[in-house]
Amino acid sequence: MSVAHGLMRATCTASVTTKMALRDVFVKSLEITSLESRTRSGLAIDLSQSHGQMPAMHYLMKPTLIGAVAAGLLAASSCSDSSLEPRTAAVCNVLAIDNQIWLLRDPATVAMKFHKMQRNWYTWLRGTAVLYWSDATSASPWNMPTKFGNAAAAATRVIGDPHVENLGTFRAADGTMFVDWNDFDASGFAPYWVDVRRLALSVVVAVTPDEAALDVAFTRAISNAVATGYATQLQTLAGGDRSWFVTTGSDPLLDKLIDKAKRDGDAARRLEEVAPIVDGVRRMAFGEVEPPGSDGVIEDELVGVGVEAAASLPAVVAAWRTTVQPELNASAATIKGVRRRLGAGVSSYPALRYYVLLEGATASLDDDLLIEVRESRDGIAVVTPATLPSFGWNSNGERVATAQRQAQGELAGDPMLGWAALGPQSYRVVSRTGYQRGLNFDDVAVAAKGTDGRAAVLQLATTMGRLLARAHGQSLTASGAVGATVIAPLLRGREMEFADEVAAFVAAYAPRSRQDYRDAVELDLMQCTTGSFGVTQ
Amino acid sequence: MKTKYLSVVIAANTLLVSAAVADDAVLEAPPVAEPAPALPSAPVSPSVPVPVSAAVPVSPSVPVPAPRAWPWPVALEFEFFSHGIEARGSGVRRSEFTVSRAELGAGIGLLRHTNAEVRIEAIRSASPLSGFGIDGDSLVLRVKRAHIHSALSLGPVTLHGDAGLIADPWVNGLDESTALRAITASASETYLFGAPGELGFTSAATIGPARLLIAVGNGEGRNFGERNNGKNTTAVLDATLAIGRLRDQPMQLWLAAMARDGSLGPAAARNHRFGGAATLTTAVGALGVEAVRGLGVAGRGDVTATTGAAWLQASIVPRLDIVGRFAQARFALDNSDATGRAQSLMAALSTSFWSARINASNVAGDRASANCNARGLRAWLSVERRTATGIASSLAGTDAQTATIVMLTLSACASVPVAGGTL
Repeated sequence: MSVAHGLMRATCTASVTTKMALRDVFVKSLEITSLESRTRSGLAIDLSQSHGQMPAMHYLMKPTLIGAVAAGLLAASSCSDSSLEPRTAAVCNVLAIDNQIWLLRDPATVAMKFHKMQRNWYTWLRGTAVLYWSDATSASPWNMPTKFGNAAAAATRVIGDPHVENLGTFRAADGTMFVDWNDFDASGFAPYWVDVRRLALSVVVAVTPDEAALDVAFTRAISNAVATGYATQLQTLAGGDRSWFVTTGSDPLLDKLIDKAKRDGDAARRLEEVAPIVDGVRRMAFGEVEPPGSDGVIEDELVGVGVEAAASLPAVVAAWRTTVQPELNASAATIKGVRRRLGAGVSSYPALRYYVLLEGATASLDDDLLIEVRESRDGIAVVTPATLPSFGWNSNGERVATAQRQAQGELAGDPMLGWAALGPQSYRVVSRTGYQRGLNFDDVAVAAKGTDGRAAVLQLATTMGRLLARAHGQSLTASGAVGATVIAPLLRGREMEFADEVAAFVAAYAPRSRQDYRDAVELDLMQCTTGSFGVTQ
Repeated sequence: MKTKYLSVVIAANTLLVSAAVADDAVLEAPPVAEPAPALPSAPVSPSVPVPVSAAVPVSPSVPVPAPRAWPWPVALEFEFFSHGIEARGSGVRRSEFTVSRAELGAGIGLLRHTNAEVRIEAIRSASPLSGFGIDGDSLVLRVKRAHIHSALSLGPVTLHGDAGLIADPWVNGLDESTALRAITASASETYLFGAPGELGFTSAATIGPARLLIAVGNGEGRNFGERNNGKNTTAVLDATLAIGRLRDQPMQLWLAAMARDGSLGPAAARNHRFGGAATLTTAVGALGVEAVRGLGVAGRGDVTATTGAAWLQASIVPRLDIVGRFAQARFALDNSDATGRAQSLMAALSTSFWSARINASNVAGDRASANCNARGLRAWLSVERRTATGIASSLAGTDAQTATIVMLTLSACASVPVAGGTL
């Protein structure tokens, strides 16, 4: 390797001056003389930026047509890789692919997403699930082998991005408040152990201040708690006991979350906030729900929808209502108002989100429904074994919604959960009520500093591990088996060994993730994801 | 000589054509008075009749507007591969019928020494694990290649130029020299190269059996527009040597070496390659080897890999061939001890239901048929054992990517000359 690489580097370095001279000849032969012309040409920009002093050859050679063409050919054959560190270049390339569609459609919003990711290590982690999966399943030092896998378990229906802030409250049909996963955007068929590792990593990141050194012992304890909670709960599920869920009294940190959500829900706070009753009519509001951050990033804002969206949303709602269980009748799905929501999420920040106000069961204002229609795109991408199909859904919206249904099982938390597709665009639809409230990583970080804070965090980590096991264990694998029956035998009697493996991964990857974040803060992420050519709309 | 005109212009930059193109006689222009160049000399079969409609003179005394003669000779080529797969591994099995590839190519003679190739391929619109295809995961058509080729003879040297959406010269060269294209891609393409074509241009010089080719492309394959200032620059030096005869048929040895400077993605991660290959073709079979070193793989500049493959094809009885191939790629990371290995061992039987035997000169003269190295209708029964370990596996530590794949493949490939006719 070193010989070939050295040869390539030496050749590249030695030829720079000659190539630039030839490039200059080529440019001159094409009579590109004005500065304005140069700035429209990447070729000319290179000359002015990198080589302010023109080679003497430029003045000595009188280009002919053939000479110019030959010079052009040779000049183009420059050493083409960037000066970025290989890791940084790889991160930029992964982010570019992950955001490709949005970069082309809405670069300004992607720029805000990148700013949001640069705020702290936790938001960086949230915005880089695709990078994590790439690192954990492709050629990298963090593609660490497992002793607990096989082909069937490698096709578990995973959440894809299980982390602290993807936990939230729901209200079941019987009024029971409970906590479960609330974001299945990245779901898919993939190795379960990679999901477990990401969850453990997220708890570690949540409780580790950006500038503080990693607490090795606490990191290991958190990883162990997540993994043992996961392994233990899977054995319970494999035994046929599906009765456990997280409700009031299950976890002190989550009790507070449930209490707040119940208060907001009972007061119909979300509906009143977004669509207050004015002069006896419920009207959709617009403007800032939360002010923008100091970095200019929109936090939560409602704006009008464009003509195209206004025209297509009725068809989306009509398609969605047939996917709700039980199906929602047409009159209940009559649209009373729509707004586009800006600012939510990190990874999905640039996704199209609409709040849609529906009539509900009766003409009364009290049973009006507020739903969120959100664009769905691809989930995680993993090289699948040859024994597994590479495709399993009709649309991304269906993938996301069915993943949530399977993971929650009998305890369905959202009667409005469904999906719709319109042309190439796919949407996942959920209800929006005050009963749904997400866990904030800051709350966990603050709790970790308090009296008995570490114990509380470890208990939460265990609870989250169990919740992840519940999601995996109740869902069907790609081959149609119940997840618990596939995974539990691999872990039975080896729970601690599994915990050690998860801890070893987190100990190895957490420093990499934090260094990526620190490097990213110094980067113009828009530049590194769009290359030399920027983004055109 | 005019009957060879299309043969020359469609011959383009294929390796096998070098000797034929070097023939000064065939580079002569067709007579000016001719309404259209004549057809190639029946590249599929000598029995194929040459349409003559383009050569029918139009009388100037006819009062109604005369139909205009179609001035450009055309040859079409069609390839279709359909697979039935049965895969088993680690307690899981998959059974699937699939259309894995279909291609339609057209070679069009434009001017003296200049021709064009347009090649369309059918692909699934969604990538693996993706729901973001077109109308689900529909089969869609996309342009695989679209380029113009021109040749100029300067004594013993012939210069070639191609511009447009061009084939990757290395992957294309391997494809044209192997008998396994219907059932598997080359090891270079599978492990190290990705998309076998991109927007760019090539310049080549042939002298005798040797060729030096320089290709410059945007480095982004077919899936993206240009994303960085760097270009992929590939140099291929190859030669096709006649090394005697076996059973009254010539034996040919193809030797090739390649180097590439390239970058991938907006962050311009390094993407360099060095490699070599050899193929021996005889009347009773063929064998070949390839080896490539990659510095930077799939947008990861810190990944290095070495891939190699050896394959053998032999005719054991008329219409029945046996094929075997072993391919391996070893991956490593800069500044790390992590390594991985992907491996494929394949054996296959192949039989032809129908084939059109072609002689070397016609192959040389038919650019559109250059990829049709399994011409006719063939069936393949193959067994492949795939393994991946370490960082070459997405499921490291498990045997989940170890699979045995039994595949029944039908391949159809035909090249049809289409004469002038009238518009």
